[in-house]
Amino acid sequence: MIRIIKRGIELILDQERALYIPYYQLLVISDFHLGKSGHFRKEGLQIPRQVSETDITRLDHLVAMYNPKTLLVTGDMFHHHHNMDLEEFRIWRIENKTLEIILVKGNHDKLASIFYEQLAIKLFSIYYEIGDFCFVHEQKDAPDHGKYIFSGHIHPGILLKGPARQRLKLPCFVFDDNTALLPAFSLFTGLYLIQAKTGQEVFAITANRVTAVATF
Amino acid sequence: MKKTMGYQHVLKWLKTSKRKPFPFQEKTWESYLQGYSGVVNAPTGFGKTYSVFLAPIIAYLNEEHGQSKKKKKLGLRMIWITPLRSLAKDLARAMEETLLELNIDWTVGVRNGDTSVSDRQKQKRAMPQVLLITPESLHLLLAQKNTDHLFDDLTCIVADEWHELLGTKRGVLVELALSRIKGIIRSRTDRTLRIWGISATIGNLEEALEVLQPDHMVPKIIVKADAEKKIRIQSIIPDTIEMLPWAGHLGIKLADKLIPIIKKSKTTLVFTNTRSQAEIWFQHLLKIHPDFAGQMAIHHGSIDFELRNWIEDALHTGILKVVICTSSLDLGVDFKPVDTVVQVGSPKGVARFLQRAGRSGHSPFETSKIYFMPTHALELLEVAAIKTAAKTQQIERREPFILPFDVLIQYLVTLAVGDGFDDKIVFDEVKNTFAFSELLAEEFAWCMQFITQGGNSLQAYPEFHKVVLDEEDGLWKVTSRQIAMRHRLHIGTIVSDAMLKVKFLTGGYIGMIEEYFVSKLKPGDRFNLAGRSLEFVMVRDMLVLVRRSNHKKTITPSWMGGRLPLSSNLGAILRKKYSQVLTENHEEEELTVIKPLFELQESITHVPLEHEFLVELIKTKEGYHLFAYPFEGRLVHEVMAALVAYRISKLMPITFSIAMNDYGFELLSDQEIPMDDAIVYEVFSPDNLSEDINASINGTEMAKRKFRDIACISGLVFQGYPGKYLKNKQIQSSSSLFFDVFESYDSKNLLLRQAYDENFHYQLEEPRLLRALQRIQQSTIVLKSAERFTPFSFPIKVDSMRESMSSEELEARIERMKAEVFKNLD
Repeated sequence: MIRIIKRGIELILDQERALYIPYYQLLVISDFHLGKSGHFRKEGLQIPRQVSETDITRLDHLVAMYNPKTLLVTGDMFHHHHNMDLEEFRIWRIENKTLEIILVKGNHDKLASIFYEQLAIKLFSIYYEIGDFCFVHEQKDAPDHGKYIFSGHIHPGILLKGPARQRLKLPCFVFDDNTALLPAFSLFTGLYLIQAKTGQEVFAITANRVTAVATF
Repeated sequence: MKKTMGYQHVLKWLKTSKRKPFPFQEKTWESYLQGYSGVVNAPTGFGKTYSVFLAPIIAYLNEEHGQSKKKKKLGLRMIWITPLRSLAKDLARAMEETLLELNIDWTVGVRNGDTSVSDRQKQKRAMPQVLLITPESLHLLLAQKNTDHLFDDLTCIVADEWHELLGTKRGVLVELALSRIKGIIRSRTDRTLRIWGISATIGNLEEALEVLQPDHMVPKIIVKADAEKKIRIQSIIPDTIEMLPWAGHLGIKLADKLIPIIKKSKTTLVFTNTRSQAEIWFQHLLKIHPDFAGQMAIHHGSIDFELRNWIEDALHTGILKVVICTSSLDLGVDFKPVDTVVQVGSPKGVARFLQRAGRSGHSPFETSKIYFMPTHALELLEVAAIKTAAKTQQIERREPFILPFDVLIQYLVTLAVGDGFDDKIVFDEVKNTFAFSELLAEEFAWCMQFITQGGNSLQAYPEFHKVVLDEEDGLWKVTSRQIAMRHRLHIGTIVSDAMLKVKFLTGGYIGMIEEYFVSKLKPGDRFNLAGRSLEFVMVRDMLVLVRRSNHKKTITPSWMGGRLPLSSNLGAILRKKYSQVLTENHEEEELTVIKPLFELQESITHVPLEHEFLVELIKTKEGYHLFAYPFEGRLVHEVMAALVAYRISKLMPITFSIAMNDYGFELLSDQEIPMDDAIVYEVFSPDNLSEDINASINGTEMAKRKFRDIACISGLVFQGYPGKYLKNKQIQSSSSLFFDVFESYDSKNLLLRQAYDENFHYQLEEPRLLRALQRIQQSTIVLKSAERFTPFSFPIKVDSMRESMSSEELEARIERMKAEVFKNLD
């Protein structure tokens, strides 16, 4: 993991594609896409169940490790409609009753509100603010009042080129002075390759660590 | 046969136009009437089509003759499978004409992606007697409901251009469709179906027949025309041979010599190896000879369908003087006005070269004329090699696909979308095909679980309902309309790259370019497509919008793929030619012209004899180079280079960069390469091959690339139609994601295994690599040192620099390198 400071507050970048803010005891993930594999199966596409199980297990480890007060999901927590994968999450939720869960709604979150109530998930439709930080799903939806903006949605990835035509695509965090892009939490998601610009810091996520790849 | 009424009728018809059957045609008819299946092999223009088409007609006339009373209307009698849609249209016209003249009231139907819905409906109510169909549409036919009765009158299935389908997954589609149709017929009557293929000459005709008709009980025959097609191969020889040939010139330096050839011919086809090369040639010819404007066209796979149709029609009518094309015109109907063919650059294989030559001079007694335009001097030897191969009939084999599980999975779902299938019956049918003769019962069971339960038996998913058992009739079916529709849309095995259509702002499509290329364009950038200079405006709704540009300076898009490696057959003959240049007295023009170049090679290092293998160690300012020349094609060289590099690095820590072309490869290091007569045999040893390959290259990454097609064909990734928006956004995914998922959670997945197998056979070409290393091991390895590049090494060196340098830098640097080579030589 890597620690950086933004607006005077420490952020921890975890290799499990999560962000932890100790000061607020806040664990942030984006683009969970729970139920995506189940949705694929319903449509006749063969995805092993372990895909969603692994995502839930990873979340479980993160919660055990940081012991946060709040879990914040910046959009696309649930992939589409209800399916079996979501039932596994329900079981996990019951085992983690005391955790507060906040969801800033994303374009995929289309379930009926009763469902969120049952899982005790607090909904924020556009953004959620705490201190100097503002969390949105898509960066364009952020209000313009000088806060530091965290967003998800695009599943950022970076292409690293090595000698002998080696190419490696990795998910990443991208920071600049006023905004941050969060990687998609779910392993069953694709990557949108970003072109790093001047003033950005990019942190690539490999199998077992987070590394700063370049400061532009 | 000769006494039969059918034969007499056909003979009379031929006589009216002063023709008589060739012996091979009579042989085919005779065999057909005796119940044979078979493959017909004859040069173009000799009436291969008639040899097979008229056989069932003679049989029909004979039957009719024997029957007095009128029976019910005849259904589908003959299925004619063609690899190309464009072929079907013209073939149907010719067949209809023949039937009319023979006074037979059959109809001919065409069925492919272009067939309208109303025509399909009409065909469903009343099948034509002859149906021309692509392999994909044949599967679509099986995906319809109530198809069993369609085949009640069927007596014959023909696979046209079978050599083209044989080595592809489309060929497997044909095998599977035939197995089902045979099964349906067997379950309803006791007729046996006759299956005939039409094939150009390939190295494994017997096997081609085995694949097409694997049934042991059926009598089978190969009918070869004894007529020989005359082919004249002429090299375009440069006035001066550049003493240091560098590859990739694109050949335009010799373009002047092409003008008189085009002028004196009626219509010329100029074949290039890549689409971008075709674009460049088109522009260049127009520049040096503006009079060709209006008489010249460009034809390749990325040009809009309508435009291509227009060009093909124009070729028929003879209004075009010259067409620059790629393999897109390798196949297809004969264009009568074409009397000259030009091949630019290495054709990479004997069969392909001869096929292209055959595009000119169609009628039986005409001579096909083909000119070979080398893009660098060493390629002249390739044409000499091809001439020899053509004489001795050393033509490449087409290796049929074995156990492609992706195609099997798609096929099973196809059947489930149609009338449903009984897994026991279909297993036996599939097992009887050539492609799946080694299929194990448990592998088939895995495929069944994959489509019925979504994985292996240990993890059944209640929400997975792709293919389900109908309890009433015991057949496996697809019940979801949505899944059925999606499946029908993606039947087939051709997986295209992500391509975007190019359209004028004012309307009108031009062609397609790769998404990757588009992503690098900025508004205002100019590029070439379909011989036009275009200015990029924007991308909207998956369309690349452009306007005409008058600027001269443009870039040419590069299209991925299409770079075939040199065939191993041609490589072997080429090695022999190389050894002959200096040693033998020969009359071949190409060998004489190239002699000074080989003398230079011999004076610096060595020209290998047939039993020798040359390894050059060259020290330059750049570092230490190792060059080797196996002549096994680019793919094999890539792996061999990595292998040799790995083995040397085990002797001492050393880093290499690698370069290769179809003739050889280069290892470059900043340290001296440890090498002597003993080590060289060790590093080129066939021992421990698999282990060392695994250690030297990233097989997983390569298999992942192969998995892309497999995921599409097996239905894991839905592509949609090119240029159309995908509606099912929430089930979109990339094949690499599936690959990772299966790697982590389902390592026994057969599709995953297939990706590794395909990588092994088609990318690494490990069997070919093994044979090459065994050959090298048995030869005398000649190790030579030098302090300058040689004529052999120069093209490889230049090719490796091309990737990292702009063209100006490159030219300047090559000139410097040339000067170095000649220094102190005299």
